Amino acid sequence: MSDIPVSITETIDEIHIVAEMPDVNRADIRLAGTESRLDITVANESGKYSTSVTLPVRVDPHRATADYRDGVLEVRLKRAVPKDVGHSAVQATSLVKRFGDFVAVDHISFDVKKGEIYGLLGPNGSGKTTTIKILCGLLRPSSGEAHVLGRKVPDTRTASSIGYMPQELAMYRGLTVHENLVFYGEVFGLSKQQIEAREQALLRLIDLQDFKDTLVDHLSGGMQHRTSLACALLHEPQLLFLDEPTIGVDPDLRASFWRYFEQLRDQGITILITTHYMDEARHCDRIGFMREGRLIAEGSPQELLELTHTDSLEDAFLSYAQTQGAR
Amino acid sequence: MKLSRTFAVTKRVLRDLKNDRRQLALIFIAPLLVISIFGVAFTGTVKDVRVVVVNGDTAPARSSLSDKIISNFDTNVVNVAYANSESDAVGQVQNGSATAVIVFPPHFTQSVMAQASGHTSVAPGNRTIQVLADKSNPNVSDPIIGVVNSAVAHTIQGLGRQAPVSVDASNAIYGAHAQFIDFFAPGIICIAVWQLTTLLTLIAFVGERTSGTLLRLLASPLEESELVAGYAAAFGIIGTAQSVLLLTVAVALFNVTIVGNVLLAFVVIALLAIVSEGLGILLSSLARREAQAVQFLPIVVLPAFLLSGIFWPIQAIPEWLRPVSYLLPPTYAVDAVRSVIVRGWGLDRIYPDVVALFIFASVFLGLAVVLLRRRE
Repeated sequence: MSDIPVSITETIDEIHIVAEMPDVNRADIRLAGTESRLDITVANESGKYSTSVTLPVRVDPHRATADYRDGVLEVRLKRAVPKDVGHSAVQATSLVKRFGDFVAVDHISFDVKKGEIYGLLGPNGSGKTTTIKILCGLLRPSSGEAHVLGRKVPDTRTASSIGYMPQELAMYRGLTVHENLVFYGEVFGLSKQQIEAREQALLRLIDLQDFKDTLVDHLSGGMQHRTSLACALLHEPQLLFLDEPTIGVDPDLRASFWRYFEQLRDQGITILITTHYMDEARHCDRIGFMREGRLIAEGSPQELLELTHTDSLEDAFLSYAQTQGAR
Repeated sequence: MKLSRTFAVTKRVLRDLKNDRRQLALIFIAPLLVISIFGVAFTGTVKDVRVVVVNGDTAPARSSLSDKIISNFDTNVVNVAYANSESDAVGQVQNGSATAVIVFPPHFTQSVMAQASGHTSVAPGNRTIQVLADKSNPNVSDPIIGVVNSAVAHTIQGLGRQAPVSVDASNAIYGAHAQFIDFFAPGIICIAVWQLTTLLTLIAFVGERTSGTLLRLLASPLEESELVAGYAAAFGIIGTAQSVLLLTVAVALFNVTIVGNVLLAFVVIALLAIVSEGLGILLSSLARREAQAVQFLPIVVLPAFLLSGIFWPIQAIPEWLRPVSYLLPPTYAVDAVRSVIVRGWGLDRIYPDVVALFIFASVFLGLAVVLLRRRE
């Protein structure tokens, strides 16, 4: 039995090796290897046999994990360099963020393709906001790394190409809608003419033409949300980070928000959005479920529903959460 | 650092102010109110204060120096009455019917004239006029001392020669100033700018932190140094505007005389405003909510109010407490502005103060930038 059937799959940051080895004790399996090779040795009373797997890319030999179950050995090897995906807007590789003893983000890896809406879903405190803050360069990862628009964060050069809408809305309440837009426009280096032209288009988009000179403080909550979105869109970013943009927004407005997002996506803008409203995530092209700092599942809404045999994303999430909890 | 982005911040801060009438009122009306209250309370509008003269001088009325001095008292301020004995006069002060007792010693004229004409062989008698004032309110007693002093000076001038008269008023620091406001107006202006700028920056910056605008800005191309500099420019402008207004009021209503170059004073005040702005940003990192920010106010205001030399010179502060004074930026601003306005000093004499303020500004603004740049 010198031939062990081995299959190799690649992800952005990992190499998965699955070997079928029935009737072997876990204790008899030995693993060794280098950056480019993995040796699997099995030694028991019936003899000793081994196989050597040549790896397609360099890996970090110190960060391998192995799991043997039901006669199948699964080895996960971390890539030494994350896969360069030219069509990725965001690549997170094994991101970790600790605050003291608390692990807010726990080895998460994901990839947002250009021109898609990617939703990070999870309950409050699952690490969504921390992840976005790392990607925006506001926090430093404790380990792991992230690339945004091809540059490793934090990098000030990406700032002008991203739009960020923090959870807190982030507007000056003592300024009018117009004054807020002008300020953010100037910060992003837009000319007066550019600001004027963009402002008109945006006010039409968010349907606030008549409130241009109203103080933000005097706007209704929904109007403030729309203005905040306009502030993030003013400089025509390629990539939008929207942190809980629909929190506290009534269902009507939420529906129209998602229409804006889909419209923007169709214009080629990439959107990374976080939400804890599971049902609205069906608008996303792909979603990642987050729980306790970990990414517990990833896929298109349809895939996740099918895999869990559920008919709502909420049930799908719960199904993954239970499996994770059992581990 | 890009100037256009810096000025975007400056314009933003000023716009915010323009839209907020309450804050505008706080910035411009509150200090006006303060300087007016202090002005009215402390200026020489002391009128018709009853003083009791005990004249022990026995010289004949025609040549009596004491009578001449008394006739030169400013009757707008004092209302002269006479008593025969010191104890009687003091009694009147004690029961509140008079504010001060002015005592001319026996043989006053004789002693003064003998000394003045060089008859040193004559035993030096008592040539000291004693002012025993109710000093519970120095703002009333000081003008009285001033009246006596100026009457003596006037009388001696009329005599046409030196006459060694002394007035025993040990509290002579401001005694010569009927216009105490000349001394403290520069201090009030500095402290108003210091306090309001720190408070406004603190509140504005806590607002930036809690509203999420700071996050958006830090994720934008705006650099931390541009943010700090933009705020500094805005508050430099606001501080200067405040001081222009305050000084105008001080001059128009309270006859404060500006001896030196007023532009130099404004530069010093703008510098103080920038120092305060830096401190405000630093303090904002310690406060989570605006309410907490306001709690810093006494820490910022009180020590400066008492120890930066607004009401009395630093030299009058106990020696062990003086190092605290030298750690307070307003100390240098008060000294510089007062020297310019009252004493007419130029940059050549106030530069140590200006250098000190520059050091404070660099340290505070530098720390503020480092603090904002720090990423957890």
